[in-house]
Amino acid sequence: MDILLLLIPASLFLLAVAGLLFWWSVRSGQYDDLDSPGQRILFEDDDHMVPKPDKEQDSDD
Amino acid sequence: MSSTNCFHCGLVNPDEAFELNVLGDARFFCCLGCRAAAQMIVASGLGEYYRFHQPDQQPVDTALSDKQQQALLVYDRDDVQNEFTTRASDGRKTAIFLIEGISCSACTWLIEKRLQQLAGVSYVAMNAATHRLSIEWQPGDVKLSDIFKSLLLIGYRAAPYLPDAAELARARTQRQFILRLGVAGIGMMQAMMNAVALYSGDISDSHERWLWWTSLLLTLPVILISAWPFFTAAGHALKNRQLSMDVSVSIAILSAFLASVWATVTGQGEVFYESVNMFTFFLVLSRFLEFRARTLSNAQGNTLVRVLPATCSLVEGGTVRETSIRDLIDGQIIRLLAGETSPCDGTVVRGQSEFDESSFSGEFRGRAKQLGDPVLAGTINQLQSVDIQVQHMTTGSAVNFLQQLVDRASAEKPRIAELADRGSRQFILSTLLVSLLIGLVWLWLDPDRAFWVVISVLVVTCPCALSLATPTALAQSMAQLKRQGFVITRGYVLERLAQLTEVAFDKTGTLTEGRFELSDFNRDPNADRWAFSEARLKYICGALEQYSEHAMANALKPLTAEFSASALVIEAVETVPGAGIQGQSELGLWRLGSAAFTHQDEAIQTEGTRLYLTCNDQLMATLTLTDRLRSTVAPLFDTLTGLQIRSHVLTGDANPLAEARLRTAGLNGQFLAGCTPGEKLAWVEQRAANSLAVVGDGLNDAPFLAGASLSIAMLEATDLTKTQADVLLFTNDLQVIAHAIGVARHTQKIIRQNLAWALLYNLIALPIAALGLVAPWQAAIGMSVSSLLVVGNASRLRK
Repeated sequence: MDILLLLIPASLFLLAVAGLLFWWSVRSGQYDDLDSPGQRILFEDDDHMVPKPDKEQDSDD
Repeated sequence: MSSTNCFHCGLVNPDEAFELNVLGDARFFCCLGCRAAAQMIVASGLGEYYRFHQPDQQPVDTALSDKQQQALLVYDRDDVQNEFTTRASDGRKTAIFLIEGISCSACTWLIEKRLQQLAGVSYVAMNAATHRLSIEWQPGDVKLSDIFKSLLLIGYRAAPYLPDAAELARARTQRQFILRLGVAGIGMMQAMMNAVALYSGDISDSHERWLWWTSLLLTLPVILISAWPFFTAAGHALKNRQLSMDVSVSIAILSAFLASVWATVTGQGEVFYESVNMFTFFLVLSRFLEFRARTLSNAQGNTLVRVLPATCSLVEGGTVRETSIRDLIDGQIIRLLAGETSPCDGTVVRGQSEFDESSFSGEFRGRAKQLGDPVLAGTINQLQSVDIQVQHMTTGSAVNFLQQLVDRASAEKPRIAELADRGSRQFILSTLLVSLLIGLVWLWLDPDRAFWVVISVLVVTCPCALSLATPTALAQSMAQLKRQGFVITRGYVLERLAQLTEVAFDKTGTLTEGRFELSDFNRDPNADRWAFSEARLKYICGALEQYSEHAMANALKPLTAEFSASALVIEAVETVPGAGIQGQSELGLWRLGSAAFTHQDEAIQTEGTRLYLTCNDQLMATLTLTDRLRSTVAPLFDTLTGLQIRSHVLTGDANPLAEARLRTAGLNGQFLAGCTPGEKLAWVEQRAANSLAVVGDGLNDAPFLAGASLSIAMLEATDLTKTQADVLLFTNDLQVIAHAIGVARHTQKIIRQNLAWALLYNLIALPIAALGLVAPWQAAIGMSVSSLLVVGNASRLRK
């Protein structure tokens, strides 16, 4: 069980990093709109990003 | 969606709906505006929109008239743009706009995609929650008026947005809440992991101490970031000699935390770090949900910006130039073209026209203005260009007067304390006294155990369940009502809704649709002589009104569509303000207008407006135009009667004949016609506080709404009216009002159940803990379970 002495500080360190990243993401306004990003993914408007076997299709956009 | 509802806006379709082929299927629309928007959306390759959109029951305005398009051009002027745009070094401009007409996330997708298609637009971000659009564009490549126009063509109106202090504070609070929630969530999960290790049993003392210390480290940020605002709020309350819910919450969090710290430092007793974290997390969560339900409204900010134009045409020594309205002084003369809104009060010094004063009087029939007649700020010129002499720029215009009425009424508005805080005050005080008493008794009996017994008592009686009881139930109901288009903007709304005994409605625009419809077309036998069919006569009416901006003209213009082959050409069409319209054809002079104008005998007074069509003074047809009652009025009155609520109607319209129609629909209270804004306010002030709700839409309703204990504004309401409203209706279905009253009563019942449960739990647990029979960790479990029960009970409201 002595491994706890090492693992817990390690997890605390990772937690601190995650906390700082979270703080940054809130500050930069990524959570200001909580409604639309969840639905935006439903729209099939990414045809130009889907790789197609036929290369002529890739030219648009 | 069935074919009986409009494919674009979701309103019930008229009998002869407009049809359009959308992506291979025939779809039906309620009006030309909706069909044009759908056509535009599909033509731009954005038909995907219709897979996910939720119709908002708000029809798109029919196509832009030339005058409206010209009004948009004012936004291309640099001096106007400087008020709301910022310019980057490479010449790009950025601005924020408030968008009207957004009902769902599909709308944000549509707006972003459509604007990205415009050349010169480099960045678009639409926020669905705040209805705000951030946009960056290159002024050389695209004009701002074109951006506005593209939005209008797909059914959205835009206005420049300048945030006010309250709005900035709201945005800051929201970010703060999310940060607090995230920190508490992370802390809660980690502390629980440690707790699992601690409660697993087989653990050595040194490892236990190690886990305690790391848990302490984990809990510190939660206390300092997530729970800190509770402590400061509690401090404020104590300074004002009051005991609020924040005080008891702070006592619970701090006592459990300090006891744990004490145990960690001395190495004896129990720790409750995971309870501290969990309690903080749930509390912040419920407060956040309540905050979001309360502030999700785009009505704040921008009070009168959209009512008044930023510039006007100044007439000086025979020349006309554009000037900012802020530079106007009394005595100057400005020119108002048809379709323009007057920026100030004044008197007519040249020309004659009709003005739409509906925002003041609720009466949307145009009012004739001759030389020397007064013109009010915010009213719209409907017919032809007039010059007016500016007045009252220094003493304040009529709009300012309404604003003063509003300010006075809202200052006198009765305020009531938050429900939960009233009950909790005695509870907190008695808990503290009881804990102190128990501590003293145990100090005398068994000093070693006294501290831990007191901690158990404090944790067991922790008012978590009590403090969660009200906000969770309120948040659930608000979220549910918001989904149905009943958006609550103030905290006390649900409580007052549950106590309602009376509802007062404005008529025009609230109970009625606020626009003229042709309700009766009576062909006169005289028409036989020329063998004019009804369809042909209707065509003539439509042709006469074709180029008029008048409110009645909009009801008659579509009539031309019913008769395609037209041999009859009408020329030299001329409008006579306040009377009617006339035109020449090969058969002679056609006139359409009032009885006096067409030289006909006035028939008995009817509820609607009667127009006569004559050819060379021979009566051809009689038309009746009425403002239709909304289809949901009768079921609404019916349900309100069932809920034992009296409905009243107060209208600025002086015509008393509407009463019969409203009585048939089920009106069971008073009907008052011809009320001024001041009279409406006086009527509201005579009523008992807290039992009356008012529903309105026009600028003239703003004081009326501000004075009532509970106010509801319609979707199309003017901005000043919306800022005064406790509730905004985002639907044209009035039945949602009756539904909301039902939900509010149910919510009240749930809150009472929650409070009763929380008190019962405390009454049972307190004596057991006082006897020293409850270990602190058992107390923590009891506390959590009672909180979960309360949250679960509240979530029954969601269905």
